[in-house]
Amino acid sequence: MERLYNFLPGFMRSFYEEQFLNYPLLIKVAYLGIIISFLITLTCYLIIFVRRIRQAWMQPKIATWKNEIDSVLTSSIIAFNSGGYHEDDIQHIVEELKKLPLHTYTVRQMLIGELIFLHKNFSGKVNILIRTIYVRLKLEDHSKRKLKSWHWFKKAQGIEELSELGIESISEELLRYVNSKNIILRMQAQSGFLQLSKTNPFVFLDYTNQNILPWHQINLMDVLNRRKDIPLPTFSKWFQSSNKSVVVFCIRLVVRFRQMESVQELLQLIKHPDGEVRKEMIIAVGELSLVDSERHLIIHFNNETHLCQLEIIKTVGKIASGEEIDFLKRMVFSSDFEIRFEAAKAIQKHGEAGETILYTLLDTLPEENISVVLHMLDKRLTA
Amino acid sequence: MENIFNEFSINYNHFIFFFASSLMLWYLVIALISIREILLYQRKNSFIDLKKLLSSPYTPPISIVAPAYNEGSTIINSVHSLLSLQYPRFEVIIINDGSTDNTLRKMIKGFSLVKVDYAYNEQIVTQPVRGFYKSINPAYSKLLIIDKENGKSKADASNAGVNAAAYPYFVCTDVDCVIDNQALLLMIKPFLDEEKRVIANGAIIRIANGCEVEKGFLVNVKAPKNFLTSVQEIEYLRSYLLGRMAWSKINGLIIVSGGIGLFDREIAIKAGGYDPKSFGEDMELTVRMRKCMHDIGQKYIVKYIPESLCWTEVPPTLDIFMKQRIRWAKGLVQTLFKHRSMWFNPKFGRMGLLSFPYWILYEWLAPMIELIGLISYSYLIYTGKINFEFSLLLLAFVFFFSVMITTISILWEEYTNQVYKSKKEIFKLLLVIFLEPIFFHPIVVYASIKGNLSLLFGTKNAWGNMGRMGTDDDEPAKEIVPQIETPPQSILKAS
Repeated sequence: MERLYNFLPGFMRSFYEEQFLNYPLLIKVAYLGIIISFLITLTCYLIIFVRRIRQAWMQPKIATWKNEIDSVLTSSIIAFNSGGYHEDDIQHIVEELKKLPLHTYTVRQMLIGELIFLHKNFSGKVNILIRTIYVRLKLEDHSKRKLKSWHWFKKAQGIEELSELGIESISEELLRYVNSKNIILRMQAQSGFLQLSKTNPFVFLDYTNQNILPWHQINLMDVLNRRKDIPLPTFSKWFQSSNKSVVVFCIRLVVRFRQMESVQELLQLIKHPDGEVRKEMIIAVGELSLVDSERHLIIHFNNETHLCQLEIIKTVGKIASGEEIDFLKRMVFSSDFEIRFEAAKAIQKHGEAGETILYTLLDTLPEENISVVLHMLDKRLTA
Repeated sequence: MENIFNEFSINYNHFIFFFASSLMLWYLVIALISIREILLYQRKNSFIDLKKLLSSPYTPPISIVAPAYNEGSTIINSVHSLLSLQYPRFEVIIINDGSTDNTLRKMIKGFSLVKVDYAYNEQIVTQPVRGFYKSINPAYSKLLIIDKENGKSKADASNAGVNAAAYPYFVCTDVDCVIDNQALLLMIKPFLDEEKRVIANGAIIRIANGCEVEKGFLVNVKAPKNFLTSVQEIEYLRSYLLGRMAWSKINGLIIVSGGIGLFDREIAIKAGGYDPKSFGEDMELTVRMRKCMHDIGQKYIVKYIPESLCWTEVPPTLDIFMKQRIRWAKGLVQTLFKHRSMWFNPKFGRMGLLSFPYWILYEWLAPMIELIGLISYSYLIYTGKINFEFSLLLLAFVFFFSVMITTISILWEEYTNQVYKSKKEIFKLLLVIFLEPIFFHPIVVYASIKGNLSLLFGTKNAWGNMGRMGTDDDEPAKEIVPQIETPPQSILKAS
């Protein structure tokens, strides 16, 4: 502090000694407050200014790098598709890419991003070529270093890069993060493991004690839609999981991959204590068009929650076998708006026969219930 | 007598000192929290690919509820703009709230509408609905028009839309706002990736004055041109980017703007929908939804995302601005008093112990405290009871602090959205910051006090309206008249 004080110009030192020290505490605080506020404001201005200058300077460079990366990768992939590649050719591509300033973080990330993009959009030998380039340029090491970072987002970034480029050796390490409290890290670990594990890609469902949130499910489904080579187990084996989000996800997987062998276990879930699981199970019955199970659901109708009751009606409409039309007709007389609305909709889904029933209902329904039937008879509303 | 006044002035100024100090400290804290939150949001979002939402069958469908009152000159473009949003499954519900102009006629003609027998479930009571309209053109199958009797408020019209909404989430917006094409995708995300139930989510509202809008679409973002609109831009940025982000982090947010807000329909209906008698219906609904969740006993969160997703015009002239701010002040007081049982009530957690005390002290009472402070301060300077030089120094401190907080919000705009591409525009805004505490803040204080007085003496609730950007081709633009909008929580009062 003393050295700093000595560094001050003379007028400041005399101001400090003769005036500042004699000020009341409040005024001293105000003085300091002004100086700090001013300095922070000035710093903000500088950051904005420097950032804008840097952007203007970097943008053309980034565009050039991107063009170079694109031209090398695109031409090599086209050549590869037409003729096939030898070791010398691969080495040539690697040497070409090494001419880029790969010591720069931005360029490395750009190149990795481009490789991931291509890896997602190609398959077979092209993907092997992309992975080889990634490894030979030592970008794999760069991604693996991220896995060791203290920061969750670096870890998640590393997992994303390694899993999208198919580096299988890290799959076991990912299991450490499938129960992370951090939602993104957990998501990346789950989808990474799903992509990389060759033997048992769904084993993380055994260990998961955190929620598989709707966003995670969307992400995992996306991986499954893209990667047709992932071996699929029978998902009903997780129906007994104590983690209800796992059960819900597995019901969706049963539907997605139409695992009809799981139907019996699926129907047992009507006894599940959680309403959300039961609701998902009812939706699944409709999605799988399990005609024989309509009755099974209707038997449980009166014991169900309002949400599940609505789903049962929707499911009967989706299956539209015609077997349970009397049940739906009864429901149109319900005093609950949502129940009668969904019931009328379910009848309407029975096609021409349903439409005829709706017309006959118009004569028998009480005044307040007619609106739902008229709604369903209007093609502009049901289209 | 003089002694009593002197003593009052001195004690009052001590109070002002502690009041201002606590307020400044609070702003510093929320500035720091919001900085952390924005960084976290950006990092999280770098892993998000919105295309997955577009293709997934598990993306929840959304109803867009947009009330319209005398919007004939812009309605066609506005509806086209809403219909073109990027989202896998959504419907657009326009509520014609008994417009006296050609709003309904233009929609009937423009979208080939016919009256339909819509099964309407009036879960929230509104003014009578005259009819429902759907298009015979399949291209507009997502569109539903409700024609209803004028309810003298946006709230009543919104409630009709909420009643008719078919989906579990609804976005409430103004029909004349320009919504970002990806707004629905970005706004639904917190509902999918939070452990707690998200009951509402808001986003940044930006100022469209000066921007180029063509047929309801924003084609070129430009900074507002005149001082009043520029200063409102920095006020909005400070409020949304710093204030609400921090409140969202501590789950104490009690306002989601009417400009753009995504709500859980089930909870909104359970809470009773918008209050048509309220001047600040959006804040009031958010409070009631939170209260409802406390009553149910379910964990929940009200979120905010630092994305500029809605563009709206703000009052370009002082008289319109005054009317708007008076209305906001009335809305705030109404809401606070309506829910006075929650003040300092631990049963309502952070909302009762943190949000309400903040809003009472620093939003509602602050203008009054400030005015009295200014009078007594002037008196003390005049009578020589306080040192003039020191007084100026304290004022300078408050001024520089205010400038610093606002500058931080501009810096964060640069890091998050960077909507202004030209350096000139951003530096113009940075200069306006210095003028705000001197020229703009006193007007805000005056409007707030006037609003409180106006509420005391009683004023009727009514729809406001606003001249619009990018009018439909065949109609001239309307005259600009006062608008109804949500107050951005003013995060700095240069007291």
